[in-house]
Amino acid sequence: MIALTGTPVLHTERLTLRAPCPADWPQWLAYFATERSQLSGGPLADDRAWRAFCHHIGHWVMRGYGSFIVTRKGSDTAIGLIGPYHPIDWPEAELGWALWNVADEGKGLAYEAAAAARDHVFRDLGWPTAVSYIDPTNARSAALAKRLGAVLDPAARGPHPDDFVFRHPAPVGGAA
Amino acid sequence: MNAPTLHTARLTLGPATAAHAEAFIAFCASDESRFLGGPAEPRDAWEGVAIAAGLWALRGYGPFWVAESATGAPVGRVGLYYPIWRTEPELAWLVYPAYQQRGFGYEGAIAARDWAYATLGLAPLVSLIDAENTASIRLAEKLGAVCEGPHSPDGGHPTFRWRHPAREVLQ
Repeated sequence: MIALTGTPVLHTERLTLRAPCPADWPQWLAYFATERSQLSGGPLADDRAWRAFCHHIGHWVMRGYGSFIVTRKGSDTAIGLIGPYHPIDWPEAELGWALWNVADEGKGLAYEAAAAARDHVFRDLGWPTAVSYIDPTNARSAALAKRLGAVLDPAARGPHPDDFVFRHPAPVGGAA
Repeated sequence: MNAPTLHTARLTLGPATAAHAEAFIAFCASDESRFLGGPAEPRDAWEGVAIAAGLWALRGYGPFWVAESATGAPVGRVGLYYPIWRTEPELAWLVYPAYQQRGFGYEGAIAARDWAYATLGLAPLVSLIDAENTASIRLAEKLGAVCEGPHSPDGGHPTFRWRHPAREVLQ
């Protein structure tokens, strides 16, 4: 099987974050068929889901970084997509997050993964700042942004006119 | 995995670069991109470049970006395109308007086709071509492909399916 090579792997207490691979396709397709995928621009027909899958993998190739597939320790089954994302027309590079199954909510898993991804973009990628674009109706996601210490930046704009833009605090002493 | 680099007499085929992405975005903004479903916004064009890179990682093959070796100028894209809803990989080509009429499409398509046959051992390749895309139809004929009739697996504009000669026939 073909894979991206040389991509980082992040470990947290309960999770592993790694680059997407072909074996993630069934979970990806299943997620984007659900109403829950509104979190991520879905639901998508199969062909659009495939384009999005290729795009996210290609994002790693083009940018040298990309969003991580989240798995539970001890399993390689994808349960979410979390991390840096920057298509060319977005005002800034974003830190995004989505857990794909409602059963994984309420356990602090999204916080755990998003905190690891945030530390990665500041520490390893050297980002000077990071934002998260959140749909105003997505209260869960806004709560997570606040829990991560991010604050609303009223001066910044998102890719969609009504997005909330949360800005994450850079580490003390600036980006490494 | 990303695209390997191939050299022909005048062309270099390889992975995407910033220059290739920029040229493709400019092409997609023009009406010349209508046979690829354009015109398209820069965001969608950039996504197209990323999708091409993603296909290499997923399939182990995909489209090559083509530059004129002497100048390094991006001239287009040739290679294999195989989205999941199709039943076989396509040999596809694109030469930007400023570089047409110079045989670049023929030269690049042969390199990509022969690479696909020699490296991947693929069955006779298919090309899907818009009925109104006369330049592309001429190239398919020059490559020895035969029209098998209408076939539009992606919806949109009606396309015709052209079948390339098998590897054994070309040897």
